[in-house]
Amino acid sequence: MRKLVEKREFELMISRMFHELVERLGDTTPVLVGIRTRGVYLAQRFSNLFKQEKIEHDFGTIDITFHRDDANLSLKIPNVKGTQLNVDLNDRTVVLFDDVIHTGRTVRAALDEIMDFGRPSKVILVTLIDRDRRELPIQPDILGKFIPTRKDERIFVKFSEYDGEDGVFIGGNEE
Amino acid sequence: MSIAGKDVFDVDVLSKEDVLQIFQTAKEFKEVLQRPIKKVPALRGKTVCTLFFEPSTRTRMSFEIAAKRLNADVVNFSSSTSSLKKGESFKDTVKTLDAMGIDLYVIRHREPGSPMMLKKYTNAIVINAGDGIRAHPTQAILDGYTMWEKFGELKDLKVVIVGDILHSRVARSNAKLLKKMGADVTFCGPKSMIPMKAEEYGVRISHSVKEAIKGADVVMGLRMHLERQTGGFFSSLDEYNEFYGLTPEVMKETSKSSIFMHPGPMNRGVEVVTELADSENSKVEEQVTNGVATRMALLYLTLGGDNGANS
Repeated sequence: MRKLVEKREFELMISRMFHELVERLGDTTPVLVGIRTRGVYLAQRFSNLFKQEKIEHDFGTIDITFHRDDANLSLKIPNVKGTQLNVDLNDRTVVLFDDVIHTGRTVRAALDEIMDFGRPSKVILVTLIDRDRRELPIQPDILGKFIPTRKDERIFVKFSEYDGEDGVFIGGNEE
Repeated sequence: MSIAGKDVFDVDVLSKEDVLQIFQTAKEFKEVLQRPIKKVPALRGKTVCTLFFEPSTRTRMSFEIAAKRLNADVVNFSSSTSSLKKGESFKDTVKTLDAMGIDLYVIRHREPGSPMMLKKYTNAIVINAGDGIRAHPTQAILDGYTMWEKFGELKDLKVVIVGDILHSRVARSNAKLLKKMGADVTFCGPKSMIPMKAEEYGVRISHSVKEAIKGADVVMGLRMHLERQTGGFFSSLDEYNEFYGLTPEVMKETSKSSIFMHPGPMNRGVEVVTELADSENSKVEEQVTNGVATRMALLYLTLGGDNGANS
C-alpha cells in the first residue's frame, strides 16, 4: 500500500471542504448523513466541525445493503449494520457523505434509501476521494481530491479515530 | 458458512451461526418495517410462490408481506381452485409452476415430509411453512428471535412449552432450535400429549405446570389442535383448562422479566385465559411483527448472494 495523502494535507482538505459546505448551506439547518462504514467517519468529522462553529445540524447514518442492485448477482453481501435516521427528512437539506466515490452505485442506492424516509428539498454529496470510473451519471458537489485509478487498484481512506492515523492510500484489490 | 441457496425443511439445516445471522438481519428488517415506506428493493425480480394445502392466515400473509416488502413478486397457489381438482398430479403441477420461473417455494401441507417431496421436482429453493406435525422452522425462528430480542441471547434461557406437544410442529422445531442455541427447554403437558421419545430432543419433561414454570424466562402456550386429534387425550376442555390453562396467577411463579408467547391462533379459555393473553407480559402480537421481519431475513439470505464479510 502506498500513501497518497499525508496527515497535514488530509486535515487541510477536510477544513476546505467544510468551509465550502458551510458557504453552500447558508442559514439552513442540514441533516448530515454518512454512508456505512467510512462515510459515517467522515460525517462525524464534519459534525465535530459544525459543533465547534456552533452550527445547528442533525445526524444520521444509512446502510445501503438492501438497496444494492447487485445482491441478485451473487456478489458478497456485507454484514448489515443498519440505518439510523430518526429525523423527518421532508423539506430538509441532506448532506450525504462517503469516503470514496467510484462507480456511483453506492450513492444511487443511498439516494433511494433516503427517499424512503421522506422528500428532502435538496441533497448535497460530499466525498473525500473521487477515484473516477463512474458507471452512473452521479458527481460529488464537494470533493477532497481527484485520484484517477485503474480497475485493479483500490483506495483506502484511514481516519485516526478508527485506524490510528489520517491518510489516503492506494493498493491492489487483494490488500 | 452461508444460507444462500439452502432449502429450509427444518431448523436442522441451519447452523448456530446461520441462526444468529438470520436474527441480525431480521433486526435490520424490523427497522425497515417501521419506516414510512416499508419496502426495500433487495429481491427485485425474484418470484416467490406460496403453496398452501392447509388453512393459514398468519403464516401465509406473513410470507407474502415479507416477500413484497423485499420487492419480490408473489404468486399464491391454492389447491382448492387449481387443476389438482381436475386430477393433475402434484408432480405435474410443480413442473408447470417451475416452467413459469419460480425462484422459491413456501409450502404448507398436512403430510410430514411434503417439502422434501416438492424438492424432488424443482430446482427452486424450498421453505417449509409447516408439514403436518413434523416441523415448522420459520415459527421456531420467529419465536427464537422474539426471545433473543428481549433477553439478548438464548444461552441458558429457561423456556417452558406448555400444552399439546404431541400434535405440535411448533414445539418440535422450537425445541430443536432452542437446544441448538443452548437454552434450557421443558415440555409440559398431560402424559397423553407428550410424544414418545420426547427426551431425544434433549428437553426436560414435566406434567405439572406449577413445577415446570418455576423461574422460567419464557412460557409458551400451544394451541390445542382440536382438528388434529382423534379423541381420548383428555376428558374435557374444562378439565384441561383447570390443570394446564395458563393464567396470570400461574405466571407469578416465573422469573421477574418473564414473557408469555403463543404461536396463534389462540383458543382463549382453553390453553390461555384472556387476562394473560392481553397482558403486558404477552408477546403474542410482537411475535406476528417479528414473523414478517424474520421471514424477510430468511428470504433475503436464501435468495441473496454469498454471505461474505466484505463487499
